[in-house]
Amino acid sequence: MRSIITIARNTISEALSRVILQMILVFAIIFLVLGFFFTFMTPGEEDKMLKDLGLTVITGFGLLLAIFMGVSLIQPEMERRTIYALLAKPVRRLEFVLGKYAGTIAVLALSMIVMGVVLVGSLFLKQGVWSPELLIALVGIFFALMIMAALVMMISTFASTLMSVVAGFLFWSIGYAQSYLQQLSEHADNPVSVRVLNTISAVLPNFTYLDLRLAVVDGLSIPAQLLGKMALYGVGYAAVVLAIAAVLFNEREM
Amino acid sequence: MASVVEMHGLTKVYRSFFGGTGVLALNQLDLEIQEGETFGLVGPNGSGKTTCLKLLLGLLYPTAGEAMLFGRKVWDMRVKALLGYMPETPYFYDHLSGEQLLRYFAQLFGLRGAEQRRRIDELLALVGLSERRHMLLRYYSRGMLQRIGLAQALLNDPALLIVDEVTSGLDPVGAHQIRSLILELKRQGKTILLSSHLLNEVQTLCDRVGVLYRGNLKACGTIDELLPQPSQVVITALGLEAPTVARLEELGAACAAADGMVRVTVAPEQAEQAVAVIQGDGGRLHELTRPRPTLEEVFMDMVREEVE
Repeated sequence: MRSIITIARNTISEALSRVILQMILVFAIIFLVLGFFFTFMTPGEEDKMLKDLGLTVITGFGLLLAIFMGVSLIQPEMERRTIYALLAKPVRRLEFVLGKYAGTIAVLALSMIVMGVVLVGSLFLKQGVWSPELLIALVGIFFALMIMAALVMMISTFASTLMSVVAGFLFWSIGYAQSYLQQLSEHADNPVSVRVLNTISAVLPNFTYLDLRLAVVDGLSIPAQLLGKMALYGVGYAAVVLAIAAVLFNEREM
Repeated sequence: MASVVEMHGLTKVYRSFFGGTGVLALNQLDLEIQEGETFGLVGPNGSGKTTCLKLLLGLLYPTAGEAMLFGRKVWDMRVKALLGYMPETPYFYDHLSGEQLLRYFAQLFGLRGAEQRRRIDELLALVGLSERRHMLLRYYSRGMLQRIGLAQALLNDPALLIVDEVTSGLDPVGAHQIRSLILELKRQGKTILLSSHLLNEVQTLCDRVGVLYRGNLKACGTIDELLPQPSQVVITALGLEAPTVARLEELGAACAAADGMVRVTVAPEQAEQAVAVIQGDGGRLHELTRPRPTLEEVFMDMVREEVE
């Protein structure tokens, strides 16, 4: 546990020192603040526009952060050979993976809090109220980012940085297009195609489970137990991916 | 004396993702290093030195055979707690300062509080970086990185220090400083395994040497065992005339004039007679040596056949 916390803290300080991460966060905040000034485009539906734009911006920039952080965990340590000195210390490879991931999750959580505060603050300034559903939607995005970071990290245990980034965007796209996959599967004639589509759909994450943007924008009430289900899906999926990443990294030669 | 490092039939073949025959990097290596010994693994680039070290550190998995440290498997955490490793090119986290790097690694060894601060202060002083402790590593010179690399390897006061290419890329002053530190650790009784392609460096630092070439251990022993006894005596003399040189050559000596002196190379049994001839003819002895081949010469002899 000591090693995991130590590695996580180093991961956090390294991430926060990176200009690219700071830039992503700054741009996200700029977009969120800009939304505040463009509500005149949707008269009468300002809060809808703010929520929709805000959650979309947070999802998009959160994805960039998750992919950037995910690919920065293992591959650069091997490319820079910093991992040689690290694994010569009393650190298990599993502890390394968990420490790196824990640090990433902390940075993602911090970023989500910063972006969330800006969004909620904008809404409060505009409307004088804010909805708790918005927080549940933000938590849903956070769980999706947890899965993304784990997936990209897993890919980066055996693939190059570029390949991991491409795979990350691919997983993200498929994860939001699960309903299309299911429709394709229902209309496919070839049994092999059906099996392939069903397998992809079953194995890859379904981010629509964690996406409450439309419900929040339309002002629908979100049952509190949905939060528990989202937590179970997000944490459970990330844990499985992390376990696979740990096994792959354990087999990896350096 | 106990064996600190043991390698039995240690073999490593690098295979590509698609299989195939692969590249044999290390072939059936049998080697033991005793407690308190400074052992040098020498060989040209690509001879298998780094592969051997990586196998000992658990960074690679052997294709066959096994490696043990302190009688345990190399990935045993109790082994890692006794181990210090200085990588060949110490790239560290450039967002950290020298002190922060040492603190980070010290925490991984479980060093905390006053003990941690004392150890970090000691090591920064030992490697001469006390005044640069707050400087970010990205601004460190190559020599400073090498020194902080040595400091992090000593954080846990290791019983076994593994050093890869100890003075690689350092200027003569930096190389001398690192060599002096290694010698000091040797005096303290640490077991040291160092790999180098600089044969003279190994000759200076090590008690025993293993010569690796294309993954095979070509020779292993003390410097005395590896270097043959001198087979010739070299006499340098002044004021020798042609008749004296002719008489020396009759004795079987090879004479060569240079810088106003004559260099006479003769078999040890003829040396006394040659000196008598020189002095009898009024020549002056300048120097008399029995040069021993260097490790480099011995190494080149070993691999010459394969190179040719």
